[in-house]
Amino acid sequence: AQTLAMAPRALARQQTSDGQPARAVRLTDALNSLQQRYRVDILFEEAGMNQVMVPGQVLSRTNTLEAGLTELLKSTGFEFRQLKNGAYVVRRADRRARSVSQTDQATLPESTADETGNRPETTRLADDRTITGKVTDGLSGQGLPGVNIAVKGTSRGTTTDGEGNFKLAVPAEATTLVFSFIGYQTREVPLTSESVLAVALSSSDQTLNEVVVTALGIKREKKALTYATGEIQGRDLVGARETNLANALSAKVPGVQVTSSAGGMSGSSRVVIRGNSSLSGNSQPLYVIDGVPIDNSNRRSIGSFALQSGLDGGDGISNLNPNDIESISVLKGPNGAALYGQLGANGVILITTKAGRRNRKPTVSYSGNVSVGRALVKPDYQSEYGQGYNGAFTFYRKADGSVVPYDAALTGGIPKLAGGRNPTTRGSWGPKMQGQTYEDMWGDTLQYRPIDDPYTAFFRPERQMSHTLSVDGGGENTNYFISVANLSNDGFVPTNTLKRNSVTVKVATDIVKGLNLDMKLNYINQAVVNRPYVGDDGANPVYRFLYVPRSLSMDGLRRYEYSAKDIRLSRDLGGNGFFVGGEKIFESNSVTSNPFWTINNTRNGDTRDRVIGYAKLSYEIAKGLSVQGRYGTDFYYERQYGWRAVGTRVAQTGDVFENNEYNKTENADLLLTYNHDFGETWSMNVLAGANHQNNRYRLVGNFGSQLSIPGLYAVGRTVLNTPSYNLVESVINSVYASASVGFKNYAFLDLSARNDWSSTLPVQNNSYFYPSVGGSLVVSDALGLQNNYLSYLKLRGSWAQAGRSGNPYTTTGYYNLNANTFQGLPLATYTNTIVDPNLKNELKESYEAGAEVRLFRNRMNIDFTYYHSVTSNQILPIVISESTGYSTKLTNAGKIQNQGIELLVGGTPVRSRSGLTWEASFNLAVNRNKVLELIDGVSELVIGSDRNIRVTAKPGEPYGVLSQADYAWVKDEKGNRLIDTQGLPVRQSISTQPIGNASPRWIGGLSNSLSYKGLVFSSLIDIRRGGQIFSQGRVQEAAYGTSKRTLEGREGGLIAEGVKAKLENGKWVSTGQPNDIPTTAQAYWNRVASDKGFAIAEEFLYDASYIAIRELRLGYQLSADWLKRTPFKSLAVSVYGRNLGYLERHTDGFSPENASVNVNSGTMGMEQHSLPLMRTVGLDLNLSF
Amino acid sequence: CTQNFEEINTSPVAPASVPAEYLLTQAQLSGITADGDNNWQVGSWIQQWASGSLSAPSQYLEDRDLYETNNWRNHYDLIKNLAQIRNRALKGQEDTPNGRTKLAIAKIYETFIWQRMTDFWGDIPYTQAGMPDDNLALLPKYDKQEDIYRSLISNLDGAVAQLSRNDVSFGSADIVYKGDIEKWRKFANVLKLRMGMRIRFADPALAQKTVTEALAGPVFVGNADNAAMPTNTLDGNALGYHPIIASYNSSKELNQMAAAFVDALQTRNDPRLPRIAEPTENSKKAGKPVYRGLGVALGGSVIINRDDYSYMNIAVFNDRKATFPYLFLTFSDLCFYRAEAALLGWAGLNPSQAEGFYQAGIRAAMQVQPYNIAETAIAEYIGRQGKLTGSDEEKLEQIMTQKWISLFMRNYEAYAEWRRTGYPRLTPGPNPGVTGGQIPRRGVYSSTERLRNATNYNEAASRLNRGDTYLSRVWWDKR
Repeated sequence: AQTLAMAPRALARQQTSDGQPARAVRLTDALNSLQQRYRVDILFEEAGMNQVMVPGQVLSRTNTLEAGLTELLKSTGFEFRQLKNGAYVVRRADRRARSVSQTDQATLPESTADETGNRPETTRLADDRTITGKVTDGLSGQGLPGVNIAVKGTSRGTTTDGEGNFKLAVPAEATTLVFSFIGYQTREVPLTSESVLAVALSSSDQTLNEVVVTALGIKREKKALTYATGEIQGRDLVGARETNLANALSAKVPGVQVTSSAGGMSGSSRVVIRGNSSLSGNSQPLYVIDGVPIDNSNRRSIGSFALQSGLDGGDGISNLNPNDIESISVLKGPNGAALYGQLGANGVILITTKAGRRNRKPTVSYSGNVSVGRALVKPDYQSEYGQGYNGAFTFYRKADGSVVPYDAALTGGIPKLAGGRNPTTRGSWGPKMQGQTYEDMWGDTLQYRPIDDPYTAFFRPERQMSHTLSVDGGGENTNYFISVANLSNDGFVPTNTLKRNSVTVKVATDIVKGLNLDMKLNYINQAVVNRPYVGDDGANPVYRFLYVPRSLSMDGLRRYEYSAKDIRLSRDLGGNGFFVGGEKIFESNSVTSNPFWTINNTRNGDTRDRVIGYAKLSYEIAKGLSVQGRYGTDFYYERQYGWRAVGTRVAQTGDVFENNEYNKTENADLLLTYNHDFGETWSMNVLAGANHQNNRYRLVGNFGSQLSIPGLYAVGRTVLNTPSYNLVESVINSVYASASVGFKNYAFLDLSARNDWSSTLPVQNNSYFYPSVGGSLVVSDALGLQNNYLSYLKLRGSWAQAGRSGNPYTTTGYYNLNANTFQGLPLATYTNTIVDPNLKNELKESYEAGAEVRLFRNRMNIDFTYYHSVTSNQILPIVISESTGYSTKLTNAGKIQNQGIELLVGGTPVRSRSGLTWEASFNLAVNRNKVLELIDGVSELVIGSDRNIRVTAKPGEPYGVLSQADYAWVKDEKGNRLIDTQGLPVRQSISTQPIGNASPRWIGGLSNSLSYKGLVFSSLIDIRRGGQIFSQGRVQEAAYGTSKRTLEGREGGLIAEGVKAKLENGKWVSTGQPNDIPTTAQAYWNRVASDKGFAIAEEFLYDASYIAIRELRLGYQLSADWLKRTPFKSLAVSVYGRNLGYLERHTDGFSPENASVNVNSGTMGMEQHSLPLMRTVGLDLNLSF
Repeated sequence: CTQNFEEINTSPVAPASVPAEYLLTQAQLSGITADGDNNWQVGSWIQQWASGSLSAPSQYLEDRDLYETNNWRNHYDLIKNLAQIRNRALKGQEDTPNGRTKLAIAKIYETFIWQRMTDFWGDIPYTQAGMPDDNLALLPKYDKQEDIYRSLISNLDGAVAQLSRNDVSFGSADIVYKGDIEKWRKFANVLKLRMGMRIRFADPALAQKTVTEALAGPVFVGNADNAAMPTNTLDGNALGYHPIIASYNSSKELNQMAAAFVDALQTRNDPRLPRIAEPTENSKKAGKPVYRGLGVALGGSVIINRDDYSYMNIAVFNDRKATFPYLFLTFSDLCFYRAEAALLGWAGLNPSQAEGFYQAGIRAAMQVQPYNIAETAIAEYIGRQGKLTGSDEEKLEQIMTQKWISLFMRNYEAYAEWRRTGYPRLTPGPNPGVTGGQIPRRGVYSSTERLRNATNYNEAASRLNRGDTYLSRVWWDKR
């Protein structure tokens, strides 16, 4: 097989310097040098080129690339031409009859079309016959220009034209044609009587020579990597059309688990790579764009404890435009990310954005998308029984107008329903809805029938539209990429909108020879209005509609302000807070709002102006020796503004707030690289660098209540004001070095070391060091094992450490000064966290081993990894006994272990001559987590809690144990519930009791892609096995009788499962007999979940396994023939669906993916009245001209 | 490259040390406010508030996550901040004029908080709480209430001895007495009296000794000496609302008056009733206003028409428009204790003096805000209700019933005094809850203690006669 090198190669090993101009250099080195200098890909066959020497001085001249190439190749027997993708290919000139002149090059590839058919063959024999045909790319169906076609066994041959067409005279005795092209698998086609051939070439397994972006933005050959990475191409991301980029990572890379939060499209996503490695807080990875770490914090998320209220302010990654992304590499842990230091301990998601190519005419591309989303899973509402109590209406309005408790014996008036706060009177435990006439709590006389479906009457389909327009191209010394994008999303909750505009400019230019400046500026402006409130927030519409009485009048709610009549005829109103024009609610509860009021009379919004950019100057000092300086920054200003009108139930006098946040992350680094080859055998890459990172955050804000003038929402113009102010700063300085040694391009050894100095640690402990070592061996190359079955076998292994420091200001105890004074007196309290003046860095130690196998001429590939990591000395806020006066103690403690396997199996089961290709890929990740140690005296760490449930970590157990808390059933030794004399299960007060675990046993994804000519059909199946999820939403439904689950036993009684028990000495003891005492559905559910604080959690625990149809997509790329008559270079349309349904699901009325309230580990495994997952259907249009 | 790291890692917004004054003011503000803000739990157990019929504890159901856990955290947080005064802010100044008296005042106030805590929960972490943060017991042991009481009484003695006229005091940072050490001396003595009387049935000897000592010292001489927290109205400051007014602004249904309380006021034709309660909505609509209290712990199965029952008085408590100081240790308390001591013949008093003290207590209780009852009405009321009649036990019941009325808005104290003496006689509500229909005798421990301090928690729970439940009794609860 030919040895093809695809550039840029592993740290492009050889460069030519100014210093030795007169010396002859190898052509291969010269080409490598050119591609470094001009930032272009130059493809060449190494075979036969190795011995060719060219004059080195050619390189020293300041010249255009093509002039340089022309001069360089002069009299070498090689020629060059430019490919459609902007790359250059260099090959033997004798393969082509006529060398392409430089003038032609400038207008390639269009000009080559004219040459079709005019190519004289080298020799012509009398008995030749002429074969014509077309060579196409097997995947896209597009014609391939420049494909070498040889008659096997002869020197005769030709190449295809710009459209992929060819014409070749072959001798009669010829049996086979050989089609070869760089980057594609060589194919031999037997000749038959057919004289017209259609040949589809499949891309050679790119991963063989695949180049991946690794830490610090360094491109390396995948072959040389000593650890597992995951790669996603940009086109696979835009296919998903997720508003938040992070969600699009789901199921694509083994070991990456993505959980969308409860906050809908503008919310954040929880991404965990290789399991939870941090005992507290979150285990989120670092996001790095073009080598620059960005801020991904979500400062406005509700806490892990007593998940009461708030909204999800979104995370940093969600601001990015997926269309700007060229590719993503996932470094899964310290082994890949050692050079990122502490930030990379949880893994790194490296994002490379698109760049223009040199010597390419401007290409204008447009990408547009529209989509509509609807709730994938809705609550299992029951529509049989309406509001009331004990199967009856609650009150009765007599003829004289007075209201008395309902008594069926009374006649002459009409039944009336209660408002009230009691779960029983506002629950749906009333009579069967049969259109009876009744009076609701606002005094409206209505028919007793089911409420309009809130999912159509209140919520609205989520609509998204996005446009990206980009121009890219380049000249001799410069390449550029410019894009302008706009995205608008009208959320599922009415009035919730997200608008995002972004501009990206990326330019790289050679200032003088050897000195390259590369710059990017990405400006993002994002405005979100009315982010949905999540969790238990009274303004969360999902929460409201979960328990709104099934017979309530939606029209009554829609008229969201109290009228005089409403108040006159309502019960339990009057007095405080109920007035004409105020927020109308159906129960006199103080916290749950009327969603129609919320969307019309309250506002929250945020506007973020964000700049992500870098400037990089690199200079080639000498041959193989380069220096690079880079400054990158990510900063944003965000204005958060909100108000609630006078009359809002929970803010009767109105309020307004405004916060201005400023966040800036800066990184400055200096990198020295040296590459050298020692003959054919040894190669070496060495780098050394230093980095300075500075983080700064500032918040200035004000919250004002009691509006002075209703309707004037301006901070500082209200009666009460509470200012807020915060400032946080930290610095990390680092030095690092790494060395990579290659032997014969099949064995590699990597070493790295890094030392960090972090400002957040005490002075005596602020320096810490950590190394890594790894090796890889391409066994197939080393032992020459390649055959028809085994194409490639690589083994790899590595060991790494990563240190990590904690948050700023944690080494000294501070006092909090109250923002307000009391009668002019300042107020102070001491911190709730006991600080540790002797904190040390955390250390994560990890090793991994893996193998990559390619079989059947690269038709099948398998990638397997085993990893093991232990994070110790964690800087943990240990939750301690509050009797100390403190709630947490910060200390180095705890050990947590993750080990697992990752498997990727992919292949091309079908690649037919007709152009049909089927590609399939399956990935699987199993992670086994174990908490090894906690702090002395602490037997269990509570990571998160809500009223009846805890998320805990306990030595010997996996992280994320779900435990029920406070109340549990009393059971016999066989696990049967004890049933009391009223037929109801007996409950007891408990501390905690483990009932499940939030972590999955394994996660995986299955993707399939079928392509035929320009048509592509692809699918992505997302799989999760194991783990549990607790649903607070189901508790709410059960308490109020709104779900189907509460229907059993409405008529004729319900027999609770369990054994009858009797009271002996104050204790319930089983009688051993199965229960046969009937009770009512209402009484039963009132025992299971009389209110959230009393729910028996195990009754609301679900298996979180699922098999979801994550994506289906059908795309069509118009053929070049057809496009010839249009101004377009390419045009593709596709329809897609996302979150289309489940092949398996075990949850009732909610999606198992809603398994986290936010990115905090403490909310894992908790569904909390989350917005439904959207089933999205959309249309994509991509064109370029 | 690290020389400025220490500076970078110093918070620019939070100080590493503050004057003791800032800590004291905050501790007074939150500690005193907490005295009155548990009406949905304790307030309904003593049947002054029915509102809490919607809260779980008022149905005799444990909801420790919401009630006890928050209470526990807030109280120990308070202790921590008070401890910061002695452990940091004034450390080393124990014997100087700049620290001595301030520390004594902080100690007296801290003792007041400790008593509330142990009265509510019983055995609690005490000796191992409030420790310096570099020498913290992470798993504090629970002390026996008996020992806590002895310690608190002796702490009061020590603090009073430390008060010195010539020392620097807190001045206006002390929002209760403006640093007036004589008033703190009186406060300490009345607090000591309260402690002595609280253990009357558990340790009569110590009780008598303590009461006698307390009454020998300077004590309150009138309402001017009352311990009161000033409260805010619309002065542009969100802090310092009267706790009852603050709670009134939430759901109205939570602010209905209990039948026992309304009846007690109504049958005595008490002039305070209109200031406390509102006639029922329906009776107002009908033009014939009547007061009617709502039953407590009714359970989920009773459907009531709330507009048939009295809410609390809107004009007095509503909308943060009105305000009045929050009283937390008063001259009327002293009078009722004196009446009780007189009945016992303690502290040189004799039973014949009891009635005079009893009447003085009623008068003092009626004079304060928000009642401000005119002297003529007070005299008329005392004329009708001011006689102590019957046996000593019956007299105690009368004293305690008046005291119960006077302690309205001071839920913890009213609850402790009801448990101590059993008066007024309260009939539990019908809901069995987890107590089998009994009024709870204590607060259960924080749910976080069960997890985070399990060994000590379990040991303390095992000392309780009915475990860590509402039904176990604290040490001094003997009746």
